[in-house]
Amino acid sequence: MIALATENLCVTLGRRQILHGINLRVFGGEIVGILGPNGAGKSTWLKAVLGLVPLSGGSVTLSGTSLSDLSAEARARMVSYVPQDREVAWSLTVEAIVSLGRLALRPAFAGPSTADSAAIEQAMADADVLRLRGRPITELSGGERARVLIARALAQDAVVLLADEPASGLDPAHQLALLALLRKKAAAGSTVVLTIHELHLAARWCDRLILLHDGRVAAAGLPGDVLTRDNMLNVYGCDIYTANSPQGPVIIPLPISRPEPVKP
Amino acid sequence: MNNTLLNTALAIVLITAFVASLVTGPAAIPLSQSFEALFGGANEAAVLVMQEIRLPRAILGLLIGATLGLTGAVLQGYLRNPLADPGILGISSAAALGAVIAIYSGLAAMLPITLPVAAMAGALLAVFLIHRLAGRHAGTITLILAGLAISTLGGALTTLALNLSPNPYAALEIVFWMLGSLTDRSWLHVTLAAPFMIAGWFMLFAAARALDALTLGSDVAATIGIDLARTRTLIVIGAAISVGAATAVAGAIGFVGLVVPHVLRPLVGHQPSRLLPASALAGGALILAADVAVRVIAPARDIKLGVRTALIGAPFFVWLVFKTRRELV
Repeated sequence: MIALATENLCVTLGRRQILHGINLRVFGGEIVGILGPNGAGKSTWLKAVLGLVPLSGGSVTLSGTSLSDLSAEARARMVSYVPQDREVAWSLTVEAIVSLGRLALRPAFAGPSTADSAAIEQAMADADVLRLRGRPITELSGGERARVLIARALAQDAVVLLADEPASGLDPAHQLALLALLRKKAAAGSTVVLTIHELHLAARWCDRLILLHDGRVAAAGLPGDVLTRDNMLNVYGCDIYTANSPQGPVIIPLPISRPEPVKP
Repeated sequence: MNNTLLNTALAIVLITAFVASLVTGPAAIPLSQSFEALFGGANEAAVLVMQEIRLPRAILGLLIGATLGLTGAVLQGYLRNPLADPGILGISSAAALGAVIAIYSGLAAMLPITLPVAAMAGALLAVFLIHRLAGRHAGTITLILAGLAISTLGGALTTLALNLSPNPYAALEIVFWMLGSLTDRSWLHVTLAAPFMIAGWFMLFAAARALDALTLGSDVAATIGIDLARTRTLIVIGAAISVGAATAVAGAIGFVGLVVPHVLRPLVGHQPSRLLPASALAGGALILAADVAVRVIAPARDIKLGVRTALIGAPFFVWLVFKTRRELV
């Protein structure tokens, strides 16, 4: 089943065309990683899928329905979003932040229903932030804050989760915990699309990878097919070293090795 | 603190301030007689003072204070900035300009009602200009810039009117009006301003949920299911008509919209939607208390309400500076 698709998607911001006809399909229950250098159009693609930036061409469909036919509330039930920016304006408690995920799913001025409370509890448990529930979010560490914001998106109970660099700025243990959490959600039927810079994490945890370069798809497919030396040289301008560990492939980016200059 | 408890406590303070406002004034009316006169008593003079002078003044104080507190809380939440206040959209200065034109042209002297009407017209013109200037999809920065442009223009034209003022009396009248006051307000002012203020409140409260969502930024708010264009319309028009009406009948009263939400925020767990009723109640209480203080401390001098709130506001800022400094070290 196709959870989301973009066809010939074009986005122009200001005078600059950011995306040039992106064709992508994401299937239900998979984790898709979007790779690419800074400015390749990864975040813009996510925002276009969410209807946050105007399209200059092409279309977005969510579970077979065109994005333009969905109301803001209907869209909120289908797709949730974790932005790259973890800024929170006010010092709400963790529980209040996670509860925001259920905001549009209930009538105005109504308190959370039993289903809402259950979803909020479950999301906090999944993201391992239950013990932080009464703490103000501004007092948390970067890793804790990232997990709370993921919990907020999980509470929305949407089929598709779009996360913009959720692993950036986290220590290795928290990165692994985060991807294990997303893996668990995908196993339970959610669809996850995330942008990611850590090649080793992308290779290990994503079902498929999409490599963007200057607003176009440079490569797409299984991690092993995308994370090749040629692709890395062409897109990032760097080399990679690949090895196999008992738990899967290990990929390390390296500077391009140049032949030693010959001494006269 | 429990939210219901806080709102109940603030409501009690508000009612106390309202009653205090009713029983304070230059006419020495005994306490028992003043309440009797409120509902029509034997003493005609007392009935006149209570029903025609003190009651409209207290009602206006309550409505205006609630408007300023509520609008401040809404705008701080919407703009995600604890320093936003009702003046930020340029509404107050546009309303002030309307009033100044009425005074300057002599219309206000001929027909007193033209003063609040011109101020309302100024406020509504400002709303229209903000919408045109900022465009349909404006973000908060564009909105603040548009407000700043209108505010600057309003301020410049008001100063121009003062500059070209035909005689010192007109200039004095303009300055006094701009200082803000509830003295000599009648039922006419109440009927003129109350419907706009209350309609504005409804619009502002309708945006409460969106304000909570905006804590996480406008992108996330939109993906949670908030209609951002509707939210902006509710807030800009709601703030404009309520603040416009308040400024029209009482002049420019600063600080309340800034200080009240600021003080209450920690008490409501920083949640923007919970801040709205609390700020409205506390704003009403603060204006009433300031108006009572004006009459008790210097009954003969008519110290303007705007001056009084500014005198409370300035030390508050000094305290805020020290508090922020302590938190930094």
